[in-house]
Amino acid sequence: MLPLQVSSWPWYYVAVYFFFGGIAAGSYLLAALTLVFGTPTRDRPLMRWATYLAAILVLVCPILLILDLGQELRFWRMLTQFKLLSPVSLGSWALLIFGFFAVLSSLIFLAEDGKWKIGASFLKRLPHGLLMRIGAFFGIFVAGYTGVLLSSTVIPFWNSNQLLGLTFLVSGLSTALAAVTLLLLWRGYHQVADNHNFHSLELILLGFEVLLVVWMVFQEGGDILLTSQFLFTFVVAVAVMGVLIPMIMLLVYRERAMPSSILAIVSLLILIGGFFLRYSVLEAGKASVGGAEHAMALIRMLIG
Amino acid sequence: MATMTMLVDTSICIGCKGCEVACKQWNELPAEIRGFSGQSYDNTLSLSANTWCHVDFVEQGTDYTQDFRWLFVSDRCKHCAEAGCLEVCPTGAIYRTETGAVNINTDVCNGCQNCVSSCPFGVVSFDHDTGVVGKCTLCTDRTETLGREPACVAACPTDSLVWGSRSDMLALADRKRARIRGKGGPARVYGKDELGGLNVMFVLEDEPEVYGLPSDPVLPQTHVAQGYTFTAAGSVLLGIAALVSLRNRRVGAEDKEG
Repeated sequence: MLPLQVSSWPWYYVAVYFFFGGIAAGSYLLAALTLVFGTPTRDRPLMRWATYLAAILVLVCPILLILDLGQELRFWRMLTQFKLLSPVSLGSWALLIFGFFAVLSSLIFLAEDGKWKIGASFLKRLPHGLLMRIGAFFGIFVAGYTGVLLSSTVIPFWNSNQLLGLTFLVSGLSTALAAVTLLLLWRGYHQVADNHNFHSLELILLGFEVLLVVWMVFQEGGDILLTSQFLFTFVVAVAVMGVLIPMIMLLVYRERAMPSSILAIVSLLILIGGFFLRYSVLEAGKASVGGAEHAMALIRMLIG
Repeated sequence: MATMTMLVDTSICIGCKGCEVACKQWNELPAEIRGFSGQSYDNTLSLSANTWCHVDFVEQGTDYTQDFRWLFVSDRCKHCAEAGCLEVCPTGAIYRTETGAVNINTDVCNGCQNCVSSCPFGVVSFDHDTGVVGKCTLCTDRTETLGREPACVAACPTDSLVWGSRSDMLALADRKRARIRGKGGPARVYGKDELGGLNVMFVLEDEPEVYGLPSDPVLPQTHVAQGYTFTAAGSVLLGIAALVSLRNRRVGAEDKEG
């Protein structure tokens, strides 16, 4: 083991940002996918609430990112550079642009419903479908770049897995669908939420996630996820609660209506799993490097 | 200005740590209380945001009376030609100087710590007190402004540390390697081609790993394009998944309406 150092990113900023950023981007993407492939007229409440959620969370994300900095007031320095090889640099810009689209879409929905008056007629005239398609592209970037950021470091567990970006994107969309489902249930749109086609989308996403998570465990340093250190945060929270139980429930209720309570629990479990996936990836990366001092001690032991 | 390089000849380092002290003194770096390490005669153990130069003590063999040797290496930032920290810095705080050194503008750095995880040598370190990162500057303030050699080089009593133009140091490194090999010992030059060439080169008497140096350091950003490509390819799959699952509904809805 070589004396590598890992960034001391606290999970309560960074893993939470990965989680919220994934949901924000995923829910906007979900709205766009519904617009393009689904039934936008029928599922308008889903598109509306998904967009509101994206807008709210995308405003929370920069706060988490700024709090994570050593010099918080210099956050704006990020927006003085544009570096293609730096995921943090591209991510800062993507988050800014995505935030613009998410907030704009929300305002358009609010204006259409008569709940937003300022510039309402202008907002209603905007080509919303086109805006959502462009915004969704930046959403994909926001959901995935955090994984690419990790895999382009020198930390063994992160850089051995080039699918981390995709893993975060899939999980982002899956957790977004769960979060939007919870919102719809809260707002009384049970019929929109309990839609077998959204259930099958969730099932496919969870299926993807299984493949990507199994792949992750088999990468260099991935075996740490199966140790007692990650027993709760990975094995229980991600694998069992976040993926296995929701998949079984979705399969059981494949042919019949799912009671609101069950749907809410399934969604909640998916959200818990999504958060702990981020947490586990972050902390397992940190654990895969014992810090320079530990590494040097190990080298002494090996040589001695 | 020509690219300047430091050559570290580990074969004549006596582990006096004069370079460590000179570095602290010139750069006005605070002392760090790290306690008793129990590791050889070394309590510093590693580089940090306030320890930019560190003499690594490697003990080989267990029997002190026979078959035992010390290896010392004066370690610091390698000032890589292809520097992961510089590529990844999103604020532009990390920059390259005229002589090829990689430096940090601590007035611009906002402490995002992306560079910390991007250094293949584990050099760049975060200072929790100041909220920014720190590392060796190759004494650019001495070399480029005053025309002097770095403080560690000036302090080195055995000339294990040498400072000069890159071409001169490459030639010197080859001569040193040839001399050690002539005496029957193994020797190699580290930093000639690694990461496009390191501006701190080493003459080593053993494998790089023994000194805590990766034998084949890789610029971490070489993975960036691959990561984005897989994500983009996967997003197409997600699109298909959405098409399959959400399109069904439209057909189902039409059936019901029909």
